[in-house]
Amino acid sequence: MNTDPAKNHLLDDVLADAAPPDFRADLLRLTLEQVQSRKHRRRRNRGLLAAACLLLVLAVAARLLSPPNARKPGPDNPLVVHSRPLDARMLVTTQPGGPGLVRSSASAIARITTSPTERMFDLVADDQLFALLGGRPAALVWRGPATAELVFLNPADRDGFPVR
Amino acid sequence: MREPPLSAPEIVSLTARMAGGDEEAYRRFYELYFDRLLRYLLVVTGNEQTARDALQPTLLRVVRHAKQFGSEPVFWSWLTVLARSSVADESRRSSRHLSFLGRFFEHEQLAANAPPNDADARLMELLEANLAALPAEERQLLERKYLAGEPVRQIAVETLTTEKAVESRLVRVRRKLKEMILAQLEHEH
Repeated sequence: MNTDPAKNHLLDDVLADAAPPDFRADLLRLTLEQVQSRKHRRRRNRGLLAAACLLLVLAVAARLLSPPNARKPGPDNPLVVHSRPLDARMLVTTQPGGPGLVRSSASAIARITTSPTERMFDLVADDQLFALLGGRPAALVWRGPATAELVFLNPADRDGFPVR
Repeated sequence: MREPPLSAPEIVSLTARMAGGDEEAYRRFYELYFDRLLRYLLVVTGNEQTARDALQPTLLRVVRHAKQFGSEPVFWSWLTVLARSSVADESRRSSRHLSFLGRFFEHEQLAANAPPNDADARLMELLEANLAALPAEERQLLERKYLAGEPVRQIAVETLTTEKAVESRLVRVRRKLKEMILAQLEHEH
């Protein structure tokens, strides 16, 4: 093969028509647009990836730094309460008409009556009253026409004393 | 004029910058590989329009899958794989009426007919063969301009014509030579 630069030059010039200048320029422009587009896309993807990583790190950090009692129980360890019906022997039930009725009878009650005509007490005069005191010092204080109060002068007598 | 292939450190740097989305790196890549890829696609497809149609998706694939390479031959080999994939896709797109079996065999044929990485060598063979097949006057004009390196002005003086007329003749002869080469490539497919 002849690798003469002169023949290479001739070959280049012969085939130069195959790629007119405007075709060459258009193709370069399209290629550079594609390069820019890919560069922007790559930059955006890197940004998204960095943001996702940052969020992941923050989420992990928040989980590690939060107090243990603040954590919710995981769904794999739920608190399950099981119940079952009570035994029939443990139930207290009522039945209508079960207990018997208690009836009272008028003849079984003793009735006590008082007679207004029968005198159960005696009226005493002031002198008789003082005589009952057996010489203990006392005074009768009238508070109205029909109301009087017996006052023992000796406070010990107020609680009572033997009567002869 | 063509630049010599990049050294390993240069290709490592260039491809690393391309993988990082460096626009200047892509401009440099264009300078280095645009014509070479188009020539390769001309050999693969044998058709000028198809080659141009496949060049755009090839370059977009380069952007999409750019990665770092350690040597120029490996990088060029990767580029040719992308180019052949683009040709296959373009071919599939333009022949949707074919059955799946037909597309399968077409794809297989494309893979089997994949030229070696030295598509430039094939083009050079075709150039030399068709240059020899040109009429003597046209062949001599090209040889004086390109192989002997004579200036257009000198050719014009010696042929008793104007520089513009010489330039016009050169354009016509180069176009004729290109059509001969492409016709031969198309015939091979």
